Amino acid sequence: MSILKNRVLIEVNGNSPQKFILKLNHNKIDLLKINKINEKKYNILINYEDLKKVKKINTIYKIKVLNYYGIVKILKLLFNFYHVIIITFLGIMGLYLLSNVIFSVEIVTNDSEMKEKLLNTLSELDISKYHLKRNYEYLQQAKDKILKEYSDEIEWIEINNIGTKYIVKYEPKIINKTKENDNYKNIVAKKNAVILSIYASSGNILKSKNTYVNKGDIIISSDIYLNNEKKDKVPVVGKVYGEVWYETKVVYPFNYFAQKKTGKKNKYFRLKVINKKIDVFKFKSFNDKIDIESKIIKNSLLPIGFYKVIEEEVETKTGMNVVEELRLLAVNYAYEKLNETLKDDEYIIKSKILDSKIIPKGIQMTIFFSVAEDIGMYH
Amino acid sequence: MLKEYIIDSNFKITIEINKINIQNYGVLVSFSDNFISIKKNKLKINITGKDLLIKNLIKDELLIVGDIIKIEYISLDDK
Repeated sequence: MSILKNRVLIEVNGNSPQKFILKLNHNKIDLLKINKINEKKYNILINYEDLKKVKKINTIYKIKVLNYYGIVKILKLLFNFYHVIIITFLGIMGLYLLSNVIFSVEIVTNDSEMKEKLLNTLSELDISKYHLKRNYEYLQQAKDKILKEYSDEIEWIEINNIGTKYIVKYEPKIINKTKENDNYKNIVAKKNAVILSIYASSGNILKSKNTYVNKGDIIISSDIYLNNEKKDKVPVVGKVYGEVWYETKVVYPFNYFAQKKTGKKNKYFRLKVINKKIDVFKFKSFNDKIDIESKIIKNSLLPIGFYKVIEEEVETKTGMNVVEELRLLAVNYAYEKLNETLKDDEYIIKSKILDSKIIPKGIQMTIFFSVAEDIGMYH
Repeated sequence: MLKEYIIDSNFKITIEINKINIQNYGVLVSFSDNFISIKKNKLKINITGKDLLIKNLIKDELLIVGDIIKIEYISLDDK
């Protein structure tokens, strides 16, 4: 029997199956092989395309399909075991991903600043967590780019792939640091201020606490004097904090729209094909949410990408503020905005509302701030 | 002529031991374990035997197996 010919073995069961065989014959259905099982039962091999016709002709007999032959058998098997095939396919895909995805990038250094910079640069070059492994040529190109970008800081770099991890080793340029240490610069005021504190481990302190300084005034000098005579030059190391003043104008609207994260998260995967998004393993969804996508695989040639999605639930509030609340919100807003510009060691000393008036949009306030800031800079 | 040569539509019966093959058999009238009746135009063929079984039944060919006792040709013109 040719494996390409689609055939089906059926069982005909009932009283006088011969009559049914005659009926099939009169309906021009080819009975390729007939086997008598007993007086009431026959097994008949027919062409697959005749099966529907046989079932249509049948009225009282029990017709049971015993087996399929040819391509149709392969298709039926595939259909019957589609879940096994899908699981196997996903398993192979998963295995491929697990063995070809980088789960960690380690930079061997004690310099946390450099480590951060290198991780960011590597991430821009798609050498980061949950990205596919790169080939030798790509890593060589990446190394060249890093060496070019950090030509003043890095002498040599190596990216080694061990399992699902990249280990990055580099040699810093020591010569540059020596040069920096040899730099005999003064610390001057970068803005007008009243000095709050001076911390100096090296250098000659020229100004004292609570002194008003103008922008550009030398606060710590590298020159060492003895009896008004310059004796030596030392490298200056220190910090100067001063009180500086700002006047800010804030306009805060009556209407507000606020979104607050509830802390509930939903993680799933997303397949993007052109403009279509197909979410995988997404079992629930929030009404108000923010989606954060992180790329797992993205083809630079085809518009296909596979992403990990973290969906965070948010509470949305809209409404209208009353004037009393509005004043407080405007001041808080001004505080927040100013704080954003300050470093960790800088802080707001005090504030005062200079002017407040209602305008059609909301409230307009002029606020004075006194801030403790690092006012020193090398010059 | 060519069509007839390529597509053989002639009634042909081949008898072997415990086996009868009939080509272009016409119509299968009835069959049972000991009797099979075929009608081709004005000719009726009755096959009598024991444990008769139609093994193959396609539109232009029929294969009978079993203990064949008698094959009868009846011309329907005679009746």
